[in-house]
Amino acid sequence: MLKDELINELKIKCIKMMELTFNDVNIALEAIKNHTTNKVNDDTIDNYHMEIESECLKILLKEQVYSKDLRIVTGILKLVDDIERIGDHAEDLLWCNSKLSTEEKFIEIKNLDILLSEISEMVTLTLKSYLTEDIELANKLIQSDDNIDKLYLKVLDELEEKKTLAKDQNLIIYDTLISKYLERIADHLVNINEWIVYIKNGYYKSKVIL
Amino acid sequence: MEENQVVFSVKNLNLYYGDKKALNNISLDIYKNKVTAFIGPSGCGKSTFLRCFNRMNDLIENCKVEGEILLNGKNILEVNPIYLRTKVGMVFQQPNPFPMSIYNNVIYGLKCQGIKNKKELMEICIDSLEKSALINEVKERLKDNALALSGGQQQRLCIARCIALSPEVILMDEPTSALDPIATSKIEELIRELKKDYTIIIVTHNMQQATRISDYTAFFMLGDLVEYNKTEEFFAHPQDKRSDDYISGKFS
Ligand SMILES: Nc1ncnc2c1ncn2[C@@H]1O[C@H](COP(=O)(O)OP(=O)(O)OP(=O)(O)O)[C@@H](O)[C@H]1O
Ligand SMILES: [Mg+2]
Repeated sequence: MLKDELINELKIKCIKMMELTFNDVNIALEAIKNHTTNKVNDDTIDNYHMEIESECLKILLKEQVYSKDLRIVTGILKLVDDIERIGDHAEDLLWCNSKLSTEEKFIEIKNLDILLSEISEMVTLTLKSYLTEDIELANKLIQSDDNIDKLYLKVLDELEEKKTLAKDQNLIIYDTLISKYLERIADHLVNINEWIVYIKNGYYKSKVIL
Repeated sequence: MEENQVVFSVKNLNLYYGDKKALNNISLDIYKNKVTAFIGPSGCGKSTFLRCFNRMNDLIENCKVEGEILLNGKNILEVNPIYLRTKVGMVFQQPNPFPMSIYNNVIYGLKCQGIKNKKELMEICIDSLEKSALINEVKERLKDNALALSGGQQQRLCIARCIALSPEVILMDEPTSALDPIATSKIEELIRELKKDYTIIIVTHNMQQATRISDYTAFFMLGDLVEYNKTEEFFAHPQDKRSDDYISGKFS
């Protein structure tokens, strides 16, 4: 296959992996928000992860890649790790959600709902910034991390405040974990956006690395 | 680029073979103790340009050169071409040792210059073979015929022959394209070592070689100098679409 085709295929696989993963995240976010249960399986995502990694390495071995091509192959090699971790966390979220008893679910944690919708939007926009290589959007998403961190702390405060309302402490334990996983997902989304910037112009965390 | 010392300064160079223009208004500076790589598709004029630096094109009939090349500020047309070629040595694609002993190959140019002192000649010979990283392989057989050496050894012998004349600049035209990967990496290692003492200009079709050993890269197409930049910058962020297409393999 021609180098161009190989790289194109790589980009397409990366989009598919991202779509699958982000879909899992959305399933988890919906389940938590709507107090329902659900399940996801990240085997396909893991397979994509390994396949993409191996293809990146093969391209680097066989082809002379320079300029944009080199940034695409190395950038994708890095960002699939973050996608894979997000996939794991989608599973983690649903597992935590399954630990909440029906009764507890109706204690409203206002800031958690906000956090859920922030993450949902961040996921959608990250896919967009990858598809369109929109640096402005990517940088905006990178900066939004501070806001997510603050929100995460607010959720913890709110949980502490409301802990007497819960009959058993599962609510506190698992909602704490849920908000932590959400915060982790945001971190990985930030990383992905940093690699998107690198693919576009060689900058990583404001330093030229290629 | 400012901090670099300029060895060669090329200004508005045009070159014709008969009516055919082979180099088109080229201007660039070559920096001291740096390796500069010339790359570009076959027939773009790399070898032609390289030959300008030591006036080897003077030897080609119907070849006409316009513009100027300054070596340390002095127009090379004002320098005796024989002397110029000792200061600006050349190594070719096919190793071309003379059919004589290893020793005589190395000191050939010195003898031409009239140096007769045996001790001095031997010292320079050993020194040159050391600098060309060949000494360990040949020190027991300096009197043997050079043609018995392997291709990679012959190429390092040719480099030693240049070095013996204490040049400032060494021109290399695809010096490793006839060599296997091991001999190639020895030459590349040698080039990295040599740039401490000399300025090197190398033509190569191997872009990874250019990225490995050169500090600056000049990309040529159809007689034009398309882009000239620091090597890492050139291969990571080519400024001209033609450079980008070439290094990304979009055409050849
Ligand atoms: N002695 C000559 N007489 C006439 N034309 C020549 C001569 N030498 C080279 N040319 C022409 O000048 C152009 C540049 O040739 P040159 O050998 O410099 O290219 P090059 O970039 O070194 O190519 P390659 O990568 O194949 O070695 C070509 O069109 C070639 O045909
Ligand atoms: Mg040539």
